[in-house]
This record gives sequence, structure tokens and C-alpha cells, in this order.
Amino acid sequence: MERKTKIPVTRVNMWYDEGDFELDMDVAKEFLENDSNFRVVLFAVDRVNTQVDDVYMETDVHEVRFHPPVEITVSGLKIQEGELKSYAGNGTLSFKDRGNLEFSVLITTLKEKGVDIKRGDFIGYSYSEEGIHYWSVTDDGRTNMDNKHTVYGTRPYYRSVKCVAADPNVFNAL
Amino acid sequence: MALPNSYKKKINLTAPPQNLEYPFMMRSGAAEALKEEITEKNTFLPQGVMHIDLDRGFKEFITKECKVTYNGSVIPVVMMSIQKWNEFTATWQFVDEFENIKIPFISVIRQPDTKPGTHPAIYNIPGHPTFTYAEVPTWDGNRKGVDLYKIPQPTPIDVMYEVRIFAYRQKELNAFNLVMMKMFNARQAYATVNGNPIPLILEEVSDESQVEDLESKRYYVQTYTINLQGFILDPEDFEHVPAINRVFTLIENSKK
Repeated sequence: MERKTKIPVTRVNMWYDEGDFELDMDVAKEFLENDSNFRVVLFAVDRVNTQVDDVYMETDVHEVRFHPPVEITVSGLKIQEGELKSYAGNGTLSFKDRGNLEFSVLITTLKEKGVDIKRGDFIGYSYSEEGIHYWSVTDDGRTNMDNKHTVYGTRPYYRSVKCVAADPNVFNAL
Repeated sequence: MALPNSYKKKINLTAPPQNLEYPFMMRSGAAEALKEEITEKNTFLPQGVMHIDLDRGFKEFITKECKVTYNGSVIPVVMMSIQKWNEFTATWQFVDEFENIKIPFISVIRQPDTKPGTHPAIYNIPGHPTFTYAEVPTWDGNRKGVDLYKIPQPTPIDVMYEVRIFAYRQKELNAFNLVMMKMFNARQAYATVNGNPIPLILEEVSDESQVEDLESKRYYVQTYTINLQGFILDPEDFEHVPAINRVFTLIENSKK
């Protein structure tokens, strides 16, 4: 739960205060939105209005409700190579799924868009002109107070999100 | 002050049984029972029992019959499938600011493979025959008859559940263990599934506590493996067939 009163961050205040932090965020956002321009689409599951059964808490693909999709700018987007596997134990019924998707997103970007990424939400990414493909968020990067995700240990400024490929029978935005 | 004699001193507040639809059957206990049979269940057939009903019954058994309270709070029970987004739906009441579920809690996992049952018998009668469940008299104004409501022999299945308690304190483990030991001290307990008592056997209690790694989060995990000796009764297999009919025939003779 978010505190109503804020605790001022005064670490390394002599050299790096809130104004410096905001300047860095503006520069980062400018670079991400105009130079690199990697964008994904967030399909956040509406967990209130989606009807689930009372036992398994699950629902069918066409009964999942979503908030309006939101395009967000991300950095460090990586799609790992898919692995060749087999459904059957004897090597038949082989399949090669899309690899996992990873990216980082600025916290300011999420705040500006008024969205949040949660475990289980879906991410759409168009890696070619042919269409858009979907991944399911497994790690929403919410726990980000480690040194890597903070500026000089002052405050966190981005989240690392990890996703696995979502089957069309699990999610289909169309 | 005494009441005048003309005042009625005892008033019966319970209305006498009435059957306004069939006045000739009024005050007939059998008729009332027949009417209730129809209006309560809307059918003469029993409720079917499917996998989800067994799971629901088991979840209710753990949630209600094995409820554990510690320090004034009920330890929550979570049961869900593999869909990721619904974790929040099932756990939003007891997650922290990072949306991680807070310890203590109890998780229920059904092993996906349900096996052929061992109770009350291993094998059914071959050929999927159906058997009469209810004989219901009928009357269409001319003919008196009987309808048969038939059901198949239920298919026994064994379903294994793993009930885990995650706790930081030994006292929380003790509280749950106390409930479980008392519940299963006569070997078996019963879950109610669509009105049917289904036996549960506590097969094993094991420990999976994460306490040896001193550089990571330490907590207790105890697993109770419970075998639900249930049955499947598919409503699609129910039959409703007419049986005997008696025609009331009047013959009029005239004498010349």
C-alpha cells in the first residue's frame, strides 16, 4: 500500500538531487522515444471485471477482459532464441516456440501513461511487418530496489520485465 | 388482568399444509413429499458429480472444516490453476506491496492425474448399464403409469491433493497440524460434494521447509497429501424412460 506521506530521499544530495534525477529521466525518455523507439503494447488484464470460476479461478480466452491497450516505449528489448522441444516423449510432435521476451521500462513512462505492468498481463510486440505477437508477463520487475535499478543508489528508475510466449489459445487480442 | 373467556388464548401460527393445485391431495404427506421433490430439485434425478465438483468440495472442506486461526486472523487458503494473471484475483486480499503473497497461507494443489478409483470397488459392471433411481407415478387424465429415472453406476476415481502450509512460526504449523490430526484421527474424514459424503484419506505428511539456506528467506513448509476417494456421475448418462401404463377403459352395455 502506498504511503500518504513521503519520505524525502536525501542520499548524495550534495551532488545528485531530485532536479538532477528529473533531468536524467527527461534525457532518457527523449532518447528512448525519439532515437531508439522500441515500442510494445501493454494489454493489462481487467482483474475486476473478468469473470472466473469459483474453483480454479480460470477463464476461457474469449472471456478475459482487458483495459484499453497502451503503447509504451521500452529499452533493452531482447527476444531469446526459441528452443526445439517435443510434446511426446519419443521425440515426435515437435514444436519450436518463440523465445522469451525481456525489456526495461522507465517508471516515469508508466506513470505518464497511467498504467502498471502486473504478472500475467500480456505484451504485444510487432517484430516484423506481418503482424503482432504476444507474450505473457512472468516477472513484472516490481521489486527493483537493487543497485542496478537505481541511480547512484538514490531511487529506482526503471523496471526489468520478463515474459514468455503466449499461445493464441491463451490470449488473442483480435 | 384476566382475559375474558371469549378470547382465544392459543393461536396456532403454523399454517396447515395446503395443496391448492391439487385439493384432493390435501393433507397427504406423500403428495407433499412428491411436490417438494419436484419443486426443491426440479428433477427426480440426483445431481451429477464431475471433477470440478470434487475440487470445489475439497476446497470447501479445507477452507471451512480445516479452518485455522492464528493471532485472530484466519490463515487464507489458495487454490488455482496455472493461469498467471489470476494469481492476483485469488490472492489480492493478502499480498504485499510487490504483489507477493504474504506468509502464512495454505495452498491446495490437485495432482492433475486422476486415477481409477479404489472405493467402493475397483471395477464397474461392464457395458455401462443404467439402474432405476426413482419410479415416479404419472397421470395424464386418461392413463395411469410410471416413469423410470435411471442412472449409471458411478465411476470411482481417486484424486490426490497436496495441501501445503507456509509459515514463519512453529506455532502456526502446530495450529494447522492440530486441526488436521484431529480431523483424520479416525483415518478418514468426509468432504460433501453435491450432497454426497466423499471419503478423504490422509496419506502422508512431509516437510519441505526452506530453513537450511541461511542466506535466503527461511520459512516452514509442511505438506499433507490427501486422497479423495470420489466418483464421477455424468448427468449426460441419466435416462428418463416411460414404464408401464394402465388405460382406464369403460364399457357400456345396454340390455334390450
